[in-house]
Amino acid sequence: MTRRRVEAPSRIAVTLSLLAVLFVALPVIALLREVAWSRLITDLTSAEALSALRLSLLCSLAATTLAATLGLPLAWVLARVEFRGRGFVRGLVLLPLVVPPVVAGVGLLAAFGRNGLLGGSLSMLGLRVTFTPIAVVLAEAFVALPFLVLAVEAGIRSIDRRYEDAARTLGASRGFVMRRITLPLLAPSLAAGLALAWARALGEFGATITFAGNIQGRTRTVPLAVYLLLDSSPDVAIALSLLLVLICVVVLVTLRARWIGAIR
Amino acid sequence: MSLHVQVKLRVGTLDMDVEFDADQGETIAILGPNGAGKTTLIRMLAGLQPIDEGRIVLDGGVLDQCILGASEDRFVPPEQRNAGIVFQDLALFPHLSAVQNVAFALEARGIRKRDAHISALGKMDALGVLDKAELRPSLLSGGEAQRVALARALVHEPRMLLLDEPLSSLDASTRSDTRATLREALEGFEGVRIIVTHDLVDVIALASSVLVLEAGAITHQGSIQEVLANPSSNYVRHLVAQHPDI
Repeated sequence: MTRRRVEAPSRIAVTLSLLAVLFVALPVIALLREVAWSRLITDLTSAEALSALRLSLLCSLAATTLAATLGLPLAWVLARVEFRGRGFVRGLVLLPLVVPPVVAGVGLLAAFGRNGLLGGSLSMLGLRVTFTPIAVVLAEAFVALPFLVLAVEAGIRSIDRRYEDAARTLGASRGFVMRRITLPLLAPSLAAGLALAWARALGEFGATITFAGNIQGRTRTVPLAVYLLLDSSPDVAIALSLLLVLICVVVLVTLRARWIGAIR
Repeated sequence: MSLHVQVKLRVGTLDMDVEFDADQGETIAILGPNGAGKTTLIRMLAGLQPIDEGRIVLDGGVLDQCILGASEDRFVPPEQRNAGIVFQDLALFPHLSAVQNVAFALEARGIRKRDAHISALGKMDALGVLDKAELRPSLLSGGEAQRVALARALVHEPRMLLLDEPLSSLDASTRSDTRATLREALEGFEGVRIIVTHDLVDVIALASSVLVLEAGAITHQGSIQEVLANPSSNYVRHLVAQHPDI
């Protein structure tokens, strides 16, 4: 073994780094301490919890699908098409990332609400969005979209154009190149984008409660249930929180594996 | 088969104005310094770079035509040109195995996967890389990857074979070996053959005539002996000086 001489890092940096790690870990550890382990299964299968879980799962999957349907072509355009105002469009799409979710909810209400911008046209079609699961899906898709676009756009940019060029010269139509070359090369970034978008959709709170309300079985997703039950049945709230943390950890671990796979 | 090229093109700082013919049975080497437009020329022939003005005609069929004031402009897209190309850094598809790379052109033409793979394996056998069929490109050595790329460029029986610096990425020992394979493949190929290089040894070993490209223009054209005997540009004089044995 050869030993490399490494300059010792400054003590202040080490101490602050440790504090930062602790700061992130502490709430998770504290949460684990609060869990009523013996009643965990009962708590998670209570009517309140089950209805929230079912709604959250369905809405977050629908929101991820919606975000992917709109976000994939957008990521493509942003990565491959040069047009005036591309920087502006990219900035606009990233807006949900920084706008406070409550404000996003107010905005969605102003757009799709009964008296909103599109409210009239929607009610003419017999559609009511606010306070329905559709509103949940829209709110979740709104906040999840930037995650998908960012990950996929970076993925498309990292694909070497030479592979697509080579495929064309070998007689492949545009569609064949897309199916056999571009999409497989994009798969790791696409998976990352989908996972991040889904995790973000699953955790959505502010925009949902503002735009979709808090109706059990219709718009009360897991984060809303956690907030509501914290007073009345804290054990159920904590059990659901634990579940959300676990899901996020699984997403992160999968992402890590994917990204390492992509680098190889 | 013959190829007629008469093109003008401006990309970036490169101003190309090139005219030449390539006949069946001859291998034309395109020799020139970096940035002279060698790769751009290959891309124009492949259909990856549309021309500004002029025409490219293969066997009487127009591949690309753009004549000022003429109404019959034509552009045949790359997938319909039936070219076999070995790219400068090969561009083997990293997510496909060697045999899937070779079979790609056949599957793109709608040939069933099983039949495509049988033909691909045959081509790989002929080039001595049959035992590498299941490997991803990242696990191939330089010489092996070169042969797989050559098999991929030949498997669909193209009308023209374009090789862009096919040996530049190899080390000296693999290079002469692969050069021999390349020579065999070129001799067995019926269509138009063009090889881009900046190595005089490649030119002498592989080509029958040479075309020197400098700053987008052809400065020498003819048989190898003619060009080397009367070097009028510094680039060619310099090349010859580097190889006193030739």
